[in-house]
Amino acid sequence: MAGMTKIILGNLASKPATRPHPFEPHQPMEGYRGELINDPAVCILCGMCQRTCPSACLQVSKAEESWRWHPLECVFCGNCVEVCPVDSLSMKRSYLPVQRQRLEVELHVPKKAPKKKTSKTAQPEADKTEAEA
Amino acid sequence: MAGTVIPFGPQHPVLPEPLQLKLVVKDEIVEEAVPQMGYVHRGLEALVKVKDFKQMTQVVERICGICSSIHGLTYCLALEELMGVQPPPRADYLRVAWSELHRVHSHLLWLGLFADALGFESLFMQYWRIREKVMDIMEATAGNRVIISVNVIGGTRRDIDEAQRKWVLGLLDEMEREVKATERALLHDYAVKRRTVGKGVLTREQAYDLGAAGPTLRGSGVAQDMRQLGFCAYKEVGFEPVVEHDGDSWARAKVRYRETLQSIELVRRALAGLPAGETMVKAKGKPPAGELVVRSEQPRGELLYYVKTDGSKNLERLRVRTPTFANVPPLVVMLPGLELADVPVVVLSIDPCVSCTER
Repeated sequence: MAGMTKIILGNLASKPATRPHPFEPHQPMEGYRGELINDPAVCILCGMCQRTCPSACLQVSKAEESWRWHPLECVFCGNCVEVCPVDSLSMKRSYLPVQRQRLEVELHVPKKAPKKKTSKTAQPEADKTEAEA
Repeated sequence: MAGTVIPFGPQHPVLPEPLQLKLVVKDEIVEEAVPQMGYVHRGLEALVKVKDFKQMTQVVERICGICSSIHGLTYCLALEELMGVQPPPRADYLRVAWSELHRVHSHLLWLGLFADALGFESLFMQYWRIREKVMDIMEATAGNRVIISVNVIGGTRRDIDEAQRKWVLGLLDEMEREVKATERALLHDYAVKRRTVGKGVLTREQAYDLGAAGPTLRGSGVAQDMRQLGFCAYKEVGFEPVVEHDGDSWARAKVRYRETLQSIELVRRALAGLPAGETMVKAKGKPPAGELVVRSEQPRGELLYYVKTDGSKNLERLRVRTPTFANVPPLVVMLPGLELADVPVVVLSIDPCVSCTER
């Protein structure tokens, strides 16, 4: 056991590797894919996030002006954030805590007037929205 | 055959994965082992009918938690070849870095479980303590600890900048020192050697004829490793398979220990030789009709993907042949003749990943 004794003595002399959770909640690192946040002021209800989602946890309805996210079905892959044409989706740097009820996030997203030619990606989607509406 | 039948698994305190073996035992000596699989069959391959080929990347990564990144990598390699997309060189090197980090984390996990199966819990905790450093690297560079989801069709989603690269290299040095410090406790300990040397012997001919894969094959003396095929940047980084010749559990443990150190070195080389440029090429349109077989090397052995497309956005067929599926016949051959108490360690020595096997 000589090999292990040296390791154990070394571990006794250094600080513990265990995080003191929940007394000191752990802050995930930069770039962590945590909770999904949508900005209702920017979202144009195009539905790209719903089409890309692998676990079908997003429901976007232009008629009802609503954007729904089911966090307990989400796999936090980040695909929706990447395809969003207006960058209204982002992921927070925190993990979802334990839930006691089935959670659903619903946002009321008001319809927006078509944007003037400000950015290349937003413009074609805004035109399509206006054409369909 | 007359004898007592003892069911080992699918739920057993020492097994990390739900593999069921019915052991036919006579007077403590195992005479026959009958495997039964299907406890965790989730039908993931059938999801190709429902999810399109881009969403399948996320599904495929969740076939297994320990080797998830390499599942995603092989799927992306298959689709890239079908669609004629060539990822940029920086993506190739980054993919090697993340795959080898995944291999380090998987082997450290296995070394810990191996020690735990022998009852050596302090060494188990020590290996998992070292593994936490790899988890931190994954979280900082890729966004998540276990299912890192960095491979997409066309390259990688994330990049490693200069500051992160230096930090990762520093952590790798610490990890290498700590892993080397455990060699004496794991491989040269009297009690460990008595329980693993000469147990579960797989001869070279048996390993080759039964189609073993990975460290099970390389522990019996056959120098075969899919990374020799040179996909991604393995040719540029330079790679030689690690081989041992005894064919027993001790040899397989030694192969995995040496591969851990080799993988740390490969990550260093990949990060040192990172070319500049983009990490991703946009892959437009749907894959054309065709079929393709792609192989890569998981921590447990050779992984084979068969992809058949018919021109629509859903794949027609996806078939995954995982290494544990190939390692179960050698396991069934290794077990007869062993005492009952030696069975858990030998079963663990092939590194079973049953969630991969049964998808």
